[in-house]
Amino acid sequence: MKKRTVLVADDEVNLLNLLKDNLEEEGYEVFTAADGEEALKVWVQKRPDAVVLDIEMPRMNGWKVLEEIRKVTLSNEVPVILILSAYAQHEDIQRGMALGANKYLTKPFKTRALVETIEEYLKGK
Amino acid sequence: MAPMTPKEQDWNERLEREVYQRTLALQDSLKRLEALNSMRAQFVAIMSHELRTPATALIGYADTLKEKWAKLPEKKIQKYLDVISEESSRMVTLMQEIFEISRILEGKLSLQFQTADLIPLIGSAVKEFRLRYADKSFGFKETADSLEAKVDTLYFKSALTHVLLNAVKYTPDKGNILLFVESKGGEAVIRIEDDGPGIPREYREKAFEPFFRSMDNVNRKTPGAGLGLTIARGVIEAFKGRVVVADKLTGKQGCAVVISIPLAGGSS
Repeated sequence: MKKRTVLVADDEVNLLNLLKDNLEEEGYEVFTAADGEEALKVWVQKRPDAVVLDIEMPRMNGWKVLEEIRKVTLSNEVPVILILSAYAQHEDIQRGMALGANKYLTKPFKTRALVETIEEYLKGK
Repeated sequence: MAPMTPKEQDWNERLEREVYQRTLALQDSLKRLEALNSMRAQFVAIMSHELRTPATALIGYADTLKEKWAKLPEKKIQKYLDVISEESSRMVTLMQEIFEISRILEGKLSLQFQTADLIPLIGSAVKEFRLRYADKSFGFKETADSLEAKVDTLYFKSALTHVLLNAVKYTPDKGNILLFVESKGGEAVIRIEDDGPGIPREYREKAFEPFFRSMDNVNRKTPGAGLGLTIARGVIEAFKGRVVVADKLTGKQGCAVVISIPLAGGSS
């Protein structure tokens, strides 16, 4: 069976490596990006099965990346999970929903929770 | 009621003027207090955010170790432990800086003033930085024999260290950091220039606000929460000095932080 692929974008290198290791261990192929522009580039080249986006990233924020992704995909095609900062407000969640995000995690979150969320969305695909 | 005598009228007018002025002053203090309050609230919000980032990494790495210890290769375990140690230090540094800033904001720094020559203090800071950051070059030019000022020497070095760390952070490898030290207009003027991307004019004052880091890529890849310049200014202002961001003397790309401290005895 072909490996399922996930793009993880976060400007915190330690967090990025942690998510990569945990997802690889679960059998995913993981692409990483340290900023929004890079995330979009990787997205276009690799078209991963799922995307994990931090919101506060240099060069291009997570909102913008999500917007670009949703120009060419539907939310039931490619799940996008947003990582929200401590600033997470009701309006952030509404904004994410309007832009077509599938799920939110607020820092600090459990790595296990992220892995399970991806599993859930990619089940049967 | 009997009409007011000219004297009474005068008193009355004076009283009214006084009440009016006091009201204005009160309104002014109220505004300043409100601004301070909102700054504090904002500070707490950003602080909570900044602490959550290392917290997320700490929880994540610790949980991963706990769950997968038996399966993980030795090298990975070592690497994870290193990250835990690194992120814990980051949290501790952040907490210390937050503590320092809150004392500065409340004007509660307990300073031990003494008249000291700043040149050897700057020299020893430069020496430490040369050892610590061998991949960068540090130049030190002084045009005064001695610069005596009334400072707390420990805090002076701490402020200078924050400015130098900032310069190191934004200067690429093999880049230059230059210190110019002179006596000018009764002040010791210390100018620290770096080879970084510089700070656009409109952000130069903002650079001293707590947690400020301009959003460009270079800045966000550098560590630190953006408290260094805030601390440096707080300390230098306690010495009745000033800290500003300026252009480099050459006008080339990069940033100059200029510290001015009144000389002891006001000599120039």
